[in-house]
Amino acid sequence: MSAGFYARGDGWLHRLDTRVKVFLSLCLVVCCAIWGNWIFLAAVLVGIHVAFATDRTPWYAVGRCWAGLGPVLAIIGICLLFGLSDVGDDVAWQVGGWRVTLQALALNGTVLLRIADIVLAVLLTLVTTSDEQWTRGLSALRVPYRIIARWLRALHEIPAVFVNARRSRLMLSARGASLGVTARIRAWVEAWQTQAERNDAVEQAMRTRGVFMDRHGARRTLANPAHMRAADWVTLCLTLLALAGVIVMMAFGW
Amino acid sequence: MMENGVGDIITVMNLAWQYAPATQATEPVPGLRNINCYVSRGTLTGIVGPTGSGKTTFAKTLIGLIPHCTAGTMNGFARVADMNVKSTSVSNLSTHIGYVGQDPRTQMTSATVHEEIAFPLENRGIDGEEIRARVEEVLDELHIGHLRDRAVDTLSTGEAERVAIASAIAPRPQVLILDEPISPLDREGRDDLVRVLARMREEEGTTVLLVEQDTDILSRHADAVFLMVDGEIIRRTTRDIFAREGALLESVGVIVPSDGGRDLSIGPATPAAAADAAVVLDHVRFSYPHATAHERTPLEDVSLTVGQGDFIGITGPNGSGKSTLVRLLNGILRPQAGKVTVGGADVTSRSVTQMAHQVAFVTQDPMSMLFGGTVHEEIAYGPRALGCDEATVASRVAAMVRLFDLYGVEDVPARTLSSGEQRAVALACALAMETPVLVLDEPVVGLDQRLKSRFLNTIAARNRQGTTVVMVCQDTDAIERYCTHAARLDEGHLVAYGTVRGSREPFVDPSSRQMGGMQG
Repeated sequence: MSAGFYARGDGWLHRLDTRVKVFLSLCLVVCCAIWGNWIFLAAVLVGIHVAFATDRTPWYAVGRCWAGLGPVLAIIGICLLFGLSDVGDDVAWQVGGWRVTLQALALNGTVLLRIADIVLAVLLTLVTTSDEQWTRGLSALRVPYRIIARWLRALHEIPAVFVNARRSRLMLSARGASLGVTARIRAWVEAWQTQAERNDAVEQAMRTRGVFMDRHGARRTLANPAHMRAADWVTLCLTLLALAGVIVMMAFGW
Repeated sequence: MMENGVGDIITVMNLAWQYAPATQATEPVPGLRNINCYVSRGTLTGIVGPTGSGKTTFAKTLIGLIPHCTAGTMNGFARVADMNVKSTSVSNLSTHIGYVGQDPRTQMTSATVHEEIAFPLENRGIDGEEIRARVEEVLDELHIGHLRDRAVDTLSTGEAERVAIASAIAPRPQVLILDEPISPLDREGRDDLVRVLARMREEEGTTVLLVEQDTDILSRHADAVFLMVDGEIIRRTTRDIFAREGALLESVGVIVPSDGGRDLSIGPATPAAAADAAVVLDHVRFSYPHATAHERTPLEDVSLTVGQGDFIGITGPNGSGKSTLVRLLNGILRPQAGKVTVGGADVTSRSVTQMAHQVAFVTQDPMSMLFGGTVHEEIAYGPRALGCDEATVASRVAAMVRLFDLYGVEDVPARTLSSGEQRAVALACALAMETPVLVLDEPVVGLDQRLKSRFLNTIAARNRQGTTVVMVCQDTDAIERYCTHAARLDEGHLVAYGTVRGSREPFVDPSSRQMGGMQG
């Protein structure tokens, strides 16, 4: 159940109220999507890593983010360099009919920064928010538990299948299989099948623990309901101030 | 025989259940036939029977997983705590019924232990402060306070079982249904469970239904015992059945309680000479990657030498590192420090596939070993992958099918079988590989006496032929009967290792006359 994006920790980001964290991520995503100022985008990238570092988010979790993101950025970057060969006049390199201009490089860099920022802004919340915190935060926003459970399951689905596939490969190896293409395909099929069975088992277990119980109008409670601490309010205020600043800068065309 | 009365909390009349066919080509599978029974309020009722006799199906029917979450056809009537099972949803049935299924790991709904225990209380709308108090109460009562903040996927099976029990008892249900909870638990866990059940029955009037292969606790504490065979309850009686009708129970495969449960006596170690060693662990240390401060190092400085042809039983409390240790032997896990040598080869220098020629391994969870093939395909997979010719593969599969009496399910997908049958198939898969070293992690959990004795006698026969066997086992009785050596782990340390006195005889398989030929 705990396979997922979340990496355990006890830093300020991990302790931050989920609602504030989601708002922060949302602001970053929207601003990065709208405003293409490369200084701003670079500052956001640095800021996110500073946030991870000051939170003492485990290094492997940040590394895992980049392990997934890095190759995707590299492929997009290469594709863009080919696609933008006719943009601008200041040629940096030219090989036959293909040229790379300074303008294309700048545009490429901005696009890659923007993608990295948006993905990492989302991961900022996913990596530092546990299931319990999601439940607390979304319950405080009056989201029905049925929807929270679906959201949590969706968050776990893909990472869990990867974990299952690894286990299946090990089990196949333990039975003497050499890991050729057939065995690997078999492991992935097995991983999806296991995940489907696991989902059914968890669904049944939730029902036997009363998840859809008729409470006669009473609300589902929580052992530890969401509570905005002073630090959460301060972070929220700082986020709002920063957002206002960005809007002003965008309005003035900086 | 118990008659219906006003004190009955469970009433079942003419109950029948057929599982929907797994494929269009197959027939519906009968699960329950004409079940009639009554259970009085505040009693402890044991449900016993051989593997595949319908015990789990019956338990699932009482909590409503059948028919609400399972495809099939139900006839008859079942009422639990004044709720009609057919017309009440599983969630609403759970208002008064606590349930712990067979595999605790698949029932975890939350990420951490305290969330898991709080979950049913939150669903009931109980005040947060009371939830926190009750969580602490059950953590204390089951002596699992140290697991409070652990991630559930880092728990051992025994620890997960305790957490599942804690989650089921926290809401103080009127009826508690436990499906084979005892076998994964260590001695302390069993004592805790017995004490908790007694307290709940006395103080809260809880009715307990205990589905079990291990009949020791039932023989001492059960008020009523139902014996199930082939989907039917053939005896509704009291715990006297274990003294009075031992022969009947043994003939159908139920484990009759002996004087088991006593402490295992481990003699002095007789270290094997380096040349004769099949398995050597040299100052091995292992911890799981990304473990937090809440998680103890599973293995710390373990050194152990297993001689060729030894049969070693590894025992110890839940979470002591037993499963971790055996996973090092075929390279599924790699030690952080120290060296593991099997058959003279350093395991870290070999792939898991290479180690499969040396070590056949059966995990605690048989489902994880099965890959969606039929029983025949699953058993044939290992020998074929190891390069055996088709004639050898066919003869090994035939021997395993005969040994575990799998004729009726040979062409059935193994994953659709009952958990006891799946375990038998997993064991057959490992035995069919015929490797010099056999590693078994709790191999007889969930097996009835017939399959258990048949399997252990076969292992013993293989051992006599020179196969080295390493078996993790909570069943000290089985260790005493079969093992030449035993090791005890505690908190990741090897605290005892030596010979087993072997004062007890191996189990007698009721069908050993028919099977004798092939066990040799």
